[in-house]
Amino acid sequence: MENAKRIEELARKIQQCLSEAGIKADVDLSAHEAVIHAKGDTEGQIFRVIAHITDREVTPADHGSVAREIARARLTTAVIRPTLAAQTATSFAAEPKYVASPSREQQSHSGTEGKKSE
Amino acid sequence: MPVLTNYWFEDTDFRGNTQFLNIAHCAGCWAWINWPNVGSTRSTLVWEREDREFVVDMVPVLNAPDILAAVDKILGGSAQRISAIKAGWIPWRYVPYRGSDPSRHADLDLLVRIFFNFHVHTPWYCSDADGDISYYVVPYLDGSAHLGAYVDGWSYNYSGGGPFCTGSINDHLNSGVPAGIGTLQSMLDSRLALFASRSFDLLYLLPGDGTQSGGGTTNVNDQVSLALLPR
Repeated sequence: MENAKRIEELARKIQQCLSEAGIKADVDLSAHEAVIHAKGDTEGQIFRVIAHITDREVTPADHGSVAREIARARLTTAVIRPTLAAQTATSFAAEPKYVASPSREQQSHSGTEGKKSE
Repeated sequence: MPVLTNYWFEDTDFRGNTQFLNIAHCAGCWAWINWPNVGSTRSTLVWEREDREFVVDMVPVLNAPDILAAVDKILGGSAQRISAIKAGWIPWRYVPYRGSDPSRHADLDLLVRIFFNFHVHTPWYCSDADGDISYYVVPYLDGSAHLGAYVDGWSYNYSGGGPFCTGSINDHLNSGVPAGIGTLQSMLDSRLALFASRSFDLLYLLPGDGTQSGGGTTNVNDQVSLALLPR
């Protein structure tokens, strides 16, 4: 808030200086920035004036998420979710039934995906 | 007759341009795929699809007029939507805000990225900006086997706006985009209400429009379908 006030004061001073030089400038203000800009011509020569005041560095990208508590609350009700993890993506779907045999047991222990019913 | 669908992805972790082939086959029979010309692919998936599978192509659903109007209101006058709404899948490990809470989901859990392109007109002293706005949605079945979904987060990125306007563009987007979560959630809730009386055994995502016949190409980053097995 303090910065915004100082930015505006500085912008107005620059605008006033330009005005005293005979240049009518506009000011675009936001909480963190001011742009003082003018376009005109003198004796057929076009000129442009731009002054930029800011108190931050910005990147052209940002992201955010819902609060962790909201997400956790939603996720506790989620029983099945789409996943590409190498495991059965459900607890509802009927699991394949196999006849227990040494070879099947061997297969199960050697890393085949999904849970096998007993 | 069950259908075996094979997907080949341009990128690792099942992303990018996707070629697919559906093979119907009798139960107890092999499903043959002789297709050596799958180009440059870095990951593949196979899914055996049951006869009872019910598919919802999300892109046409999300481009209904009422949803488009609601999305356009999110942007207000500060930016213009310049594309249809797209909906692709994205593994959690690639979601931009993963770093702020990595354990929220497992790395290969799939979120639906709902996104569109936008354009921002700027004053004469800046270049115009173009980019995309994304919302990340988690679909799920709850303990009663009912379909649900919630909006988990958002992101945007753009190019242009320099040299002096990126700050004001960010200000507008940082107020409008997160506020859009509520709008999108209410639109999702209204669509999900159509399924409220039904219960399902399984929920999964399929690249593209989820067709069960033939082969073709799609981009799983841009189009994904919700697949459900009715109980």
